[in-house]
Amino acid sequence: MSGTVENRRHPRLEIVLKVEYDSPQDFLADYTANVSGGGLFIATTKLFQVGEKLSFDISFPGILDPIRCHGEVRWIRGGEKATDNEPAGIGVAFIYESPEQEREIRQLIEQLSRPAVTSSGDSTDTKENVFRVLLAEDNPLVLEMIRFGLRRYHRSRATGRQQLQVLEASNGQEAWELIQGTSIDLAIVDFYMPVMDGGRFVRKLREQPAYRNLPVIVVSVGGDEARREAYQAGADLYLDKPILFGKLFDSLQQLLNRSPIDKDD
Amino acid sequence: MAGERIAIVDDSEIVLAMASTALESAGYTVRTAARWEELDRVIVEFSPGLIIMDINMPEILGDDALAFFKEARQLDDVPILLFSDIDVQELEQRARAAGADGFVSKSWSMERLLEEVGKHLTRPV
Repeated sequence: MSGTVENRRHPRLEIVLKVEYDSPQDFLADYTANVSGGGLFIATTKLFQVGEKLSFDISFPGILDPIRCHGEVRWIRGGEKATDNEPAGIGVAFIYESPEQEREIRQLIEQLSRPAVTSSGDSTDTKENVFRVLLAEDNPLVLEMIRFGLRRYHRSRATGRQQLQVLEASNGQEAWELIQGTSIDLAIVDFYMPVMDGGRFVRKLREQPAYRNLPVIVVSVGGDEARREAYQAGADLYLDKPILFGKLFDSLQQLLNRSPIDKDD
Repeated sequence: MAGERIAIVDDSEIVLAMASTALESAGYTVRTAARWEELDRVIVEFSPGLIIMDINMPEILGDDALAFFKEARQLDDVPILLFSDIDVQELEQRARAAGADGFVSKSWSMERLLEEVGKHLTRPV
Protein backbone atom coordinates (compact mmCIF):
# COMPACT_ATOMS: atom_id res chain seq x y z
CA MET A 1 0.00 0.00 0.00
CA SER A 2 1.37 3.41 -0.89
CA GLY A 3 -0.16 5.39 1.97
CA THR A 4 -3.19 6.85 3.65
CA VAL A 5 -4.30 10.49 3.75
CA GLU A 6 -6.84 11.93 6.13
CA ASN A 7 -9.82 13.85 4.76
CA ARG A 8 -12.71 15.05 6.92
CA ARG A 9 -15.18 16.21 4.25
CA HIS A 10 -17.60 13.30 4.44
CA PRO A 11 -20.96 14.71 5.70
CA ARG A 12 -22.17 11.62 7.59
CA LEU A 13 -19.04 9.95 8.82
CA GLU A 14 -16.24 11.89 10.38
CA ILE A 15 -13.14 10.49 8.73
CA VAL A 16 -12.33 9.54 5.15
CA LEU A 17 -9.10 7.67 4.50
CA LYS A 18 -7.75 7.52 0.98
CA VAL A 19 -6.25 4.05 0.62
CA GLU A 20 -4.10 3.76 -2.47
CA TYR A 21 -2.60 0.44 -3.59
CA ASP A 22 0.23 -0.03 -6.05
CA SER A 23 -1.37 -3.20 -7.34
CA PRO A 24 -4.36 -5.48 -6.75
CA GLN A 25 -1.91 -7.96 -5.15
CA ASP A 26 -1.11 -5.42 -2.46
CA PHE A 27 -4.82 -4.99 -1.84
CA LEU A 28 -5.34 -8.73 -1.59
CA ALA A 29 -2.48 -9.02 0.88
CA ASP A 30 -4.28 -6.52 3.09
CA TYR A 31 -7.74 -7.88 2.45
CA THR A 32 -8.96 -9.93 5.32
CA ALA A 33 -12.19 -11.39 6.50
CA ASN A 34 -11.16 -11.69 10.11
CA VAL A 35 -13.62 -8.98 10.89
CA SER A 36 -17.14 -10.25 10.45
CA GLY A 37 -18.72 -9.79 7.05
CA GLY A 38 -15.45 -9.11 5.26
CA GLY A 39 -12.98 -6.39 5.92
CA LEU A 40 -9.66 -4.79 5.28
CA PHE A 41 -6.44 -4.00 7.08
CA ILE A 42 -5.51 -0.35 6.62
CA ALA A 43 -1.97 0.68 7.49
CA THR A 44 -2.16 3.96 9.36
CA THR A 45 -0.59 5.60 12.38
CA LYS A 46 -3.66 7.74 13.04
CA LEU A 47 -5.48 7.22 16.32
CA PHE A 48 -8.72 5.30 16.13
CA GLN A 49 -10.97 3.60 18.62
CA VAL A 50 -12.63 0.23 18.27
CA GLY A 51 -16.19 0.81 17.09
CA GLU A 52 -15.36 4.08 15.35
CA LYS A 53 -16.93 4.49 11.92
CA LEU A 54 -15.06 5.79 8.92
CA SER A 55 -15.15 5.98 5.14
CA PHE A 56 -12.33 5.03 2.83
CA ASP A 57 -11.70 5.33 -0.87
CA ILE A 58 -9.87 2.31 -2.34
CA SER A 59 -7.98 2.89 -5.57
CA PHE A 60 -5.28 1.36 -7.76
CA PRO A 61 -3.71 4.14 -9.85
CA GLY A 62 -4.02 3.39 -13.54
CA ILE A 63 -6.12 0.29 -12.87
CA LEU A 64 -9.19 1.25 -10.94
CA ASP A 65 -10.89 4.53 -10.07
CA PRO A 66 -11.53 5.15 -6.36
CA ILE A 67 -14.36 3.19 -4.77
CA ARG A 68 -15.98 4.73 -1.71
CA CYS A 69 -16.45 2.21 1.12
CA HIS A 70 -17.70 2.56 4.67
CA GLY A 71 -16.62 0.59 7.66
CA GLU A 72 -16.21 0.21 11.37
CA VAL A 73 -12.92 -0.23 13.25
CA ARG A 74 -12.86 -3.72 14.78
CA TRP A 75 -9.27 -3.98 15.98
CA ILE A 76 -6.20 -1.80 16.27
CA ARG A 77 -2.50 -2.59 16.01
CA GLY A 78 -0.20 0.15 17.20
CA GLY A 79 2.58 1.00 19.62
CA GLU A 80 4.89 -1.87 20.52
CA LYS A 81 2.74 -4.40 18.67
CA ALA A 82 3.59 -2.83 15.31
CA THR A 83 6.67 -4.18 13.50
CA ASP A 84 8.25 -3.80 10.05
CA ASN A 85 6.39 -6.91 8.89
CA GLU A 86 3.17 -6.01 10.66
CA PRO A 87 2.83 -2.24 10.56
CA ALA A 88 0.53 -0.11 12.69
CA GLY A 89 -3.01 0.02 11.42
CA ILE A 90 -6.64 -0.89 11.87
CA GLY A 91 -8.84 -3.84 10.97
CA VAL A 92 -11.99 -2.46 9.40
CA ALA A 93 -15.24 -4.35 8.79
CA PHE A 94 -17.09 -3.22 5.70
CA ILE A 95 -20.48 -1.60 6.26
CA TYR A 96 -22.55 -2.08 3.14
CA GLU A 97 -25.12 0.62 2.45
CA SER A 98 -27.17 -1.61 0.17
CA PRO A 99 -27.19 -5.18 -1.17
CA GLU A 100 -26.01 -3.74 -4.52
CA GLN A 101 -22.99 -2.16 -2.89
CA GLU A 102 -22.15 -5.39 -1.06
CA ARG A 103 -22.39 -7.29 -4.34
CA GLU A 104 -20.20 -4.70 -6.09
CA ILE A 105 -17.45 -4.94 -3.48
CA ARG A 106 -17.57 -8.74 -3.26
CA GLN A 107 -17.36 -8.94 -7.07
CA LEU A 108 -14.36 -6.63 -7.03
CA ILE A 109 -12.58 -8.84 -4.48
CA GLU A 110 -13.48 -11.95 -6.48
CA GLN A 111 -12.11 -10.42 -9.68
CA LEU A 112 -8.91 -9.36 -7.96
CA SER A 113 -8.53 -12.81 -6.41
CA ARG A 114 -8.34 -14.51 -9.79
CA PRO A 115 -4.85 -15.42 -10.96
CA ALA A 116 -3.35 -12.57 -12.94
CA VAL A 117 -2.84 -13.11 -16.66
CA THR A 118 0.35 -11.64 -18.05
CA SER A 119 0.19 -8.89 -20.63
CA SER A 120 1.36 -11.36 -23.28
CA GLY A 121 -2.11 -12.89 -23.04
CA ASP A 122 -0.63 -16.36 -22.78
CA SER A 123 -3.25 -18.18 -20.75
CA THR A 124 -0.70 -20.76 -19.57
CA ASP A 125 1.43 -18.01 -18.08
CA THR A 126 -0.77 -17.38 -15.08
CA LYS A 127 0.31 -16.85 -11.51
CA GLU A 128 -1.25 -16.39 -8.12
CA ASN A 129 0.81 -13.97 -6.11
CA VAL A 130 -0.81 -14.51 -2.74
CA PHE A 131 -0.60 -17.84 -0.95
CA ARG A 132 -3.18 -17.96 1.82
CA VAL A 133 -2.91 -20.24 4.80
CA LEU A 134 -5.66 -20.54 7.38
CA LEU A 135 -4.19 -21.13 10.84
CA ALA A 136 -6.67 -22.07 13.58
CA GLU A 137 -5.15 -22.44 17.05
CA ASP A 138 -6.54 -21.35 20.41
CA ASN A 139 -3.19 -20.71 22.12
CA PRO A 140 -2.11 -17.22 20.95
CA LEU A 141 1.61 -17.80 21.54
CA VAL A 142 1.62 -21.18 19.79
CA LEU A 143 -0.27 -19.55 16.92
CA GLU A 144 2.39 -16.82 16.77
CA MET A 145 5.17 -19.43 16.79
CA ILE A 146 3.62 -21.45 13.96
CA ARG A 147 3.03 -18.27 11.96
CA PHE A 148 6.69 -17.35 12.52
CA GLY A 149 7.77 -20.80 11.31
CA LEU A 150 5.53 -20.54 8.24
CA ARG A 151 6.99 -17.16 7.31
CA ARG A 152 10.56 -18.44 7.70
CA TYR A 153 9.73 -21.47 5.61
CA HIS A 154 8.06 -19.30 2.98
CA ARG A 155 11.03 -16.91 2.86
CA SER A 156 13.38 -19.84 2.29
CA ARG A 157 11.25 -21.39 -0.46
CA ALA A 158 9.34 -18.59 -2.17
CA THR A 159 10.35 -17.38 -5.56
CA GLY A 160 9.31 -14.22 -7.35
CA ARG A 161 6.72 -11.94 -5.79
CA GLN A 162 4.50 -14.53 -4.17
CA GLN A 163 3.28 -13.29 -0.81
CA LEU A 164 2.26 -15.39 2.14
CA GLN A 165 -0.92 -14.36 3.90
CA VAL A 166 -1.79 -16.12 7.15
CA LEU A 167 -5.42 -15.88 8.20
CA GLU A 168 -5.62 -16.50 11.94
CA ALA A 169 -8.48 -17.82 14.04
CA SER A 170 -8.72 -18.97 17.67
CA ASN A 171 -11.48 -21.54 17.13
CA GLY A 172 -13.40 -23.33 14.38
CA GLN A 173 -16.29 -20.89 14.32
CA GLU A 174 -13.97 -17.92 13.91
CA ALA A 175 -12.08 -19.82 11.20
CA TRP A 176 -15.31 -20.53 9.35
CA GLU A 177 -16.33 -16.87 9.42
CA LEU A 178 -12.83 -15.82 8.43
CA ILE A 179 -12.75 -17.77 5.18
CA GLN A 180 -16.13 -16.60 3.92
CA GLY A 181 -15.66 -14.46 0.84
CA THR A 182 -12.01 -15.32 0.34
CA SER A 183 -10.04 -18.23 -1.08
CA ILE A 184 -7.44 -20.21 0.85
CA ASP A 185 -4.73 -22.59 -0.32
CA LEU A 186 -4.10 -24.59 2.85
CA ALA A 187 -5.49 -25.00 6.37
CA ILE A 188 -3.58 -25.89 9.54
CA VAL A 189 -6.06 -26.62 12.31
CA ASP A 190 -5.61 -27.46 15.98
CA PHE A 191 -7.96 -30.27 17.03
CA TYR A 192 -8.90 -29.14 20.52
CA MET A 193 -10.32 -25.62 20.42
CA PRO A 194 -13.26 -23.96 22.23
CA VAL A 195 -16.58 -23.02 20.58
CA MET A 196 -16.03 -25.26 17.54
CA ASP A 197 -13.25 -27.85 17.65
CA GLY A 198 -11.01 -28.79 14.74
CA GLY A 199 -12.98 -31.98 13.95
CA ARG A 200 -16.28 -30.13 13.56
CA PHE A 201 -14.60 -27.40 11.56
CA VAL A 202 -12.99 -29.85 9.09
CA ARG A 203 -16.30 -31.70 8.72
CA LYS A 204 -18.04 -28.41 7.96
CA LEU A 205 -15.33 -27.57 5.43
CA ARG A 206 -15.70 -30.89 3.62
CA GLU A 207 -19.46 -30.44 3.34
CA GLN A 208 -18.81 -27.50 1.03
CA PRO A 209 -17.82 -28.41 -2.54
CA ALA A 210 -15.39 -25.45 -2.64
CA TYR A 211 -13.31 -26.92 0.19
CA ARG A 212 -13.48 -30.63 -0.66
CA ASN A 213 -9.95 -30.66 -2.11
CA LEU A 214 -8.43 -28.07 0.19
CA PRO A 215 -5.25 -29.48 1.81
CA VAL A 216 -5.97 -29.69 5.56
CA ILE A 217 -3.46 -30.55 8.29
CA VAL A 218 -4.80 -31.18 11.79
CA VAL A 219 -2.41 -30.90 14.76
CA SER A 220 -3.07 -31.97 18.33
CA VAL A 221 -1.82 -33.34 21.62
CA GLY A 222 -4.81 -35.68 21.53
CA GLY A 223 -2.99 -38.76 20.26
CA ASP A 224 -4.85 -41.66 18.66
CA GLU A 225 -8.35 -40.45 19.47
CA ALA A 226 -7.81 -37.03 17.93
CA ARG A 227 -6.03 -38.65 14.97
CA ARG A 228 -8.95 -40.99 14.29
CA GLU A 229 -11.53 -38.23 14.57
CA ALA A 230 -9.48 -35.86 12.42
CA TYR A 231 -9.25 -38.39 9.59
CA GLN A 232 -12.94 -39.26 9.93
CA ALA A 233 -13.75 -35.56 9.60
CA GLY A 234 -11.75 -35.38 6.36
CA ALA A 235 -8.26 -34.17 7.30
CA ASP A 236 -5.52 -34.95 4.79
CA LEU A 237 -2.94 -35.32 7.50
CA TYR A 238 -2.73 -35.47 11.28
CA LEU A 239 0.43 -34.43 13.13
CA ASP A 240 1.10 -34.94 16.83
CA LYS A 241 2.12 -32.08 19.06
CA PRO A 242 4.76 -31.08 19.92
CA ILE A 243 4.96 -30.01 16.31
CA LEU A 244 8.19 -30.67 14.46
CA PHE A 245 8.36 -27.70 12.11
CA GLY A 246 10.53 -29.64 9.65
CA LYS A 247 7.93 -32.40 9.44
CA LEU A 248 5.07 -29.91 9.21
CA PHE A 249 6.70 -28.11 6.29
CA ASP A 250 7.69 -31.30 4.50
CA SER A 251 4.10 -32.51 4.85
CA LEU A 252 2.79 -29.18 3.69
CA GLN A 253 4.95 -29.34 0.57
CA GLN A 254 3.82 -32.88 -0.15
CA LEU A 255 0.17 -31.93 0.24
CA LEU A 256 0.59 -29.00 -2.10
CA ASN A 257 2.24 -31.26 -4.64
CA ARG A 258 -0.52 -33.78 -3.97
CA SER A 259 1.97 -36.54 -3.32
CA PRO A 260 0.74 -39.52 -1.35
CA ILE A 261 0.93 -38.97 2.40
CA ASP A 262 1.43 -41.78 4.84
CA LYS A 263 -1.54 -41.29 7.12
CA ASP A 264 -0.28 -43.82 9.64
CA ASP A 265 2.90 -41.88 10.21
CA MET B 1 23.02 -7.45 36.72
CA ALA B 2 21.30 -8.84 33.66
CA GLY B 3 24.36 -10.99 32.92
CA GLU B 4 23.75 -13.00 36.08
CA ARG B 5 20.08 -13.70 35.47
CA ILE B 6 19.11 -17.09 34.11
CA ALA B 7 15.72 -18.28 32.86
CA ILE B 8 15.04 -22.01 32.63
CA VAL B 9 12.09 -23.42 30.67
CA ASP B 10 11.19 -27.08 31.20
CA ASP B 11 7.83 -28.80 31.59
CA SER B 12 9.16 -30.95 34.44
CA GLU B 13 8.83 -29.26 37.84
CA ILE B 14 11.47 -31.62 39.29
CA VAL B 15 14.02 -30.67 36.66
CA LEU B 16 13.23 -26.97 37.18
CA ALA B 17 13.70 -27.33 40.95
CA MET B 18 16.99 -29.20 40.65
CA ALA B 19 18.53 -26.94 38.03
CA SER B 20 17.42 -23.73 39.71
CA THR B 21 18.75 -24.91 43.11
CA ALA B 22 22.14 -25.66 41.58
CA LEU B 23 22.33 -22.32 39.78
CA GLU B 24 21.09 -20.31 42.75
CA SER B 25 23.58 -22.00 45.04
CA ALA B 26 26.27 -20.77 42.64
CA GLY B 27 24.96 -17.22 43.03
CA TYR B 28 22.85 -16.79 39.93
CA THR B 29 19.36 -15.29 40.04
CA VAL B 30 16.97 -17.76 38.43
CA ARG B 31 13.41 -17.65 37.10
CA THR B 32 11.67 -20.79 35.89
CA ALA B 33 8.93 -21.42 33.35
CA ALA B 34 7.01 -24.62 32.68
CA ARG B 35 5.30 -23.41 29.48
CA TRP B 36 6.21 -21.19 26.54
CA GLU B 37 3.74 -18.53 27.68
CA GLU B 38 5.51 -18.36 31.05
CA LEU B 39 8.89 -17.98 29.37
CA ASP B 40 7.44 -15.18 27.24
CA ARG B 41 6.45 -13.34 30.43
CA VAL B 42 9.77 -14.07 32.16
CA ILE B 43 11.66 -12.59 29.18
CA VAL B 44 9.73 -9.32 29.51
CA GLU B 45 9.71 -9.04 33.31
CA PHE B 46 13.11 -10.52 34.17
CA SER B 47 15.37 -9.76 31.15
CA PRO B 48 17.47 -12.90 31.51
CA GLY B 49 21.11 -12.87 30.49
CA LEU B 50 20.92 -16.54 29.52
CA ILE B 51 18.14 -19.03 28.81
CA ILE B 52 18.26 -22.79 29.34
CA MET B 53 15.62 -24.32 27.08
CA ASP B 54 14.25 -27.85 27.26
CA ILE B 55 13.81 -29.54 23.88
CA ASN B 56 10.87 -31.80 24.63
CA MET B 57 8.29 -29.15 25.48
CA PRO B 58 4.56 -29.48 24.81
CA GLU B 59 3.06 -27.87 21.68
CA ILE B 60 6.33 -26.73 20.03
CA LEU B 61 9.78 -28.33 20.40
CA GLY B 62 12.64 -26.34 21.88
CA ASP B 63 14.62 -26.53 18.61
CA ASP B 64 11.89 -24.61 16.77
CA ALA B 65 10.98 -22.31 19.66
CA LEU B 66 14.60 -21.19 19.93
CA ALA B 67 14.56 -19.47 16.54
CA PHE B 68 11.23 -17.86 17.38
CA PHE B 69 12.45 -16.36 20.65
CA LYS B 70 15.77 -15.27 19.18
CA GLU B 71 14.16 -13.45 16.27
CA ALA B 72 10.63 -12.50 17.31
CA ARG B 73 11.63 -11.48 20.84
CA GLN B 74 14.92 -9.96 19.69
CA LEU B 75 17.15 -12.10 21.88
CA ASP B 76 20.15 -12.17 19.55
CA ASP B 77 22.44 -11.09 22.37
CA VAL B 78 21.04 -13.55 24.89
CA PRO B 79 22.71 -16.98 24.81
CA ILE B 80 20.22 -19.86 24.64
CA LEU B 81 21.37 -23.35 25.63
CA LEU B 82 19.31 -26.36 24.57
CA PHE B 83 18.57 -28.71 27.47
CA SER B 84 17.74 -32.39 27.17
CA ASP B 85 18.40 -35.93 28.34
CA ILE B 86 18.88 -37.27 24.79
CA ASP B 87 22.25 -38.64 23.68
CA VAL B 88 24.87 -35.90 24.01
CA GLN B 89 26.07 -36.30 20.41
CA GLU B 90 22.51 -35.90 19.11
CA LEU B 91 21.96 -32.97 21.45
CA GLU B 92 25.08 -31.25 20.14
CA GLN B 93 23.91 -31.81 16.56
CA ARG B 94 20.41 -30.48 17.26
CA ALA B 95 21.78 -27.47 19.12
CA ARG B 96 23.98 -26.60 16.14
CA ALA B 97 21.12 -27.09 13.67
CA ALA B 98 18.78 -24.93 15.74
CA GLY B 99 21.29 -22.09 16.03
CA ALA B 100 21.68 -22.48 19.80
CA ASP B 101 24.63 -20.93 21.58
CA GLY B 102 25.32 -24.21 23.34
CA PHE B 103 23.71 -27.13 25.08
CA VAL B 104 23.39 -28.71 28.52
CA SER B 105 22.74 -32.41 29.02
CA LYS B 106 20.47 -33.43 31.86
CA SER B 107 22.82 -36.35 32.43
CA TRP B 108 25.66 -34.01 33.38
CA SER B 109 26.70 -33.28 36.95
CA MET B 110 25.84 -29.93 38.52
CA GLU B 111 29.50 -28.94 38.24
CA ARG B 112 29.42 -29.58 34.49
CA LEU B 113 26.17 -27.57 34.21
CA LEU B 114 27.75 -24.62 36.03
CA GLU B 115 30.87 -24.90 33.90
CA GLU B 116 28.81 -24.69 30.69
CA VAL B 117 26.74 -21.77 31.96
CA GLY B 118 29.95 -20.06 33.13
CA LYS B 119 31.24 -20.01 29.54
CA HIS B 120 28.46 -17.62 28.63
CA LEU B 121 27.98 -15.58 31.81
CA THR B 122 30.19 -13.81 34.29
CA ARG B 123 30.08 -16.01 37.33
CA PRO B 124 28.70 -14.10 40.32
CA VAL B 125 31.07 -13.45 43.22
